[in-house]
Amino acid sequence: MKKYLIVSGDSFTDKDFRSSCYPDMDVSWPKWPDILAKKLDMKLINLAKAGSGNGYIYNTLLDCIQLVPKDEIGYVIAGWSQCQRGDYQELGHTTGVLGGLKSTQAERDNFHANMKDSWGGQDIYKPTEMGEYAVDKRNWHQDRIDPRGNLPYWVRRTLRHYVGLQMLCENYNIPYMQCQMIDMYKDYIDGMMPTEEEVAFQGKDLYADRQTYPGDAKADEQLIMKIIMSYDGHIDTSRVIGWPLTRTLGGFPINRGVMGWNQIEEEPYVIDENDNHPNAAGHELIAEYIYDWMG
Amino acid sequence: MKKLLLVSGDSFADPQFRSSSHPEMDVSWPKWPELMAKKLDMKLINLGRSGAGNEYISSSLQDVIVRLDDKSQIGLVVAGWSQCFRHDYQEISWHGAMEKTSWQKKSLEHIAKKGKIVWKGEWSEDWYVDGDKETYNGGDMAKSKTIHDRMDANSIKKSAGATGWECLRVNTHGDIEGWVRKSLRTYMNFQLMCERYDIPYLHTQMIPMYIDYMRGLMPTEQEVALGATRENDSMLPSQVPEEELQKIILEYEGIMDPHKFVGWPISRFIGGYPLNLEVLGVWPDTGINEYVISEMDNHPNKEGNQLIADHLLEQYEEIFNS
Repeated sequence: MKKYLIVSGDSFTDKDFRSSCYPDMDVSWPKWPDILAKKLDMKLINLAKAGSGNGYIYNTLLDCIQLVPKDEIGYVIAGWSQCQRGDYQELGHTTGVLGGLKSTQAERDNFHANMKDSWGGQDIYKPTEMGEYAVDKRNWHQDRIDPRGNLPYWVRRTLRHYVGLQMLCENYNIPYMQCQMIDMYKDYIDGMMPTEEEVAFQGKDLYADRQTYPGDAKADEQLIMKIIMSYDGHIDTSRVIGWPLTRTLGGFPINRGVMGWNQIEEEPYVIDENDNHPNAAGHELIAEYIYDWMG
Repeated sequence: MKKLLLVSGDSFADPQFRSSSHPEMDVSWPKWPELMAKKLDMKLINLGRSGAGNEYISSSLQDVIVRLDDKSQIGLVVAGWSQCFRHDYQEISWHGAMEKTSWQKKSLEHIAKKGKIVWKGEWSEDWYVDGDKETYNGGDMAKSKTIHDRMDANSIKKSAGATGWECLRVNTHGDIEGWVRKSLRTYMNFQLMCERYDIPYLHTQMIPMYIDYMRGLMPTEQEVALGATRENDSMLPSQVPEEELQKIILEYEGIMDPHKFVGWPISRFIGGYPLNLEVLGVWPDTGINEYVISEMDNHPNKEGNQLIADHLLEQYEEIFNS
């Protein structure tokens, strides 16, 4: 029986990714989770949602892992995002987000049985229904910048999620990997640029219209280095690709470390200079890298 | 060496608790964590903080637990969960981080030896402020400091990075169902952490998770003391049927360990209870009694704190010593 590869992340992982600057572009190429699942001969549960932050990523994995029988989980991967994003849920009185978390064991068993039937024999390149069952993305909302707290806190909050995922997977003896899919804090501390959509359709300039970091960037970056390093020895770094996460400390986020630090000029792995999401070749490269890392 | 009793919670656990309604009142009676520690003959680390929400409670415990290399030092962890609609966040400054340095020094050296530091060499001296050198083992930077050398709760909080927390009384983002779900995930996270490290633990809904919000949040005790009235200054009641929240809680039936969650499944309508209402006997339909401070302030008084400690100790004995 094929086991499940469960992934969560942001737009780099979202199976329904659409380019904000090229809404008409066909971006239906297989994403790295699709490719990896095929290589691993696993069924895919992809919970990722474009724009999401690390609260969404952790909580959707937690919800989903509670739902799926543990012996059917082959691997869990978190592709962490920017730490400054804020996630929250508005269920709007529509319960049943976790279709599988039923109140009795019999209900849960029945649910699992039904779900197995509905997933059985699916082509992994076709969208599965699992994500919709496990997590209703529609009731999750994101702020591009969390209105509360400061950058060092958001970094620490993300690192707490790293620890949380580790404990979750270790507790259930589930193989797992986590990585910073895009840089955790750099985009914010360097001054947030307008979104791709704002540049493409509102005439904003990528550099002239970037925001100013509301703090002492140099001092805060030193503090952030220190916070990240304070987790060395407490996070199982053998399960983290790119630890200690940031180039300044010798680590890397996947998009830069794998696709190249000067993507546009040197590496043909992103859509283009306006949209630096991975193209088909980029997704192949990321999947290959993670697969090789898994050994 | 005595084992550690690690506690976090809101005002019900706060060792520095002051009554907002009666600011002049002497409320220095022993709180339930202190009473438990004495009975269990453990050293108490009490991270409880008035006004705190569940993210603070969970994070403050995680911050300390993950940094303890020898988890067997912990005799018991107790989380006294609060209202789900509170919102916690941190404003972290250099001050708290520098305090953390001394506890982390061994780790920093370890990282440096592995050659990961490419911070242009600035880190080696610059990252230790003078205060660290003066306070760290009397200047002996080579000697490792343990949590037993830092029994002051404020010092431990700073060491673990659990400082600079702020709390909003009502989260400005999300809705009551989302907050209930968020809290339940937080409780799961706590359970998973303790199970992973094989740490004895108890947790409980110390005060009602959502009732106060559902019925229209009243002004705070402080606001009432300053002239606000419950009749005129309360929020409107929520339109969400309480049954929907109970359904969400019941989704975690079979996932949450009901023996170690005292009062599970939280709501009396589905067979559980918030600890303060059950133990102090102050259900909304029964009114106050001799175990709370006053009609204006329903925090436990000296006898109330003893009742809470006794109830939790009873559960502890039943689970861990039977």
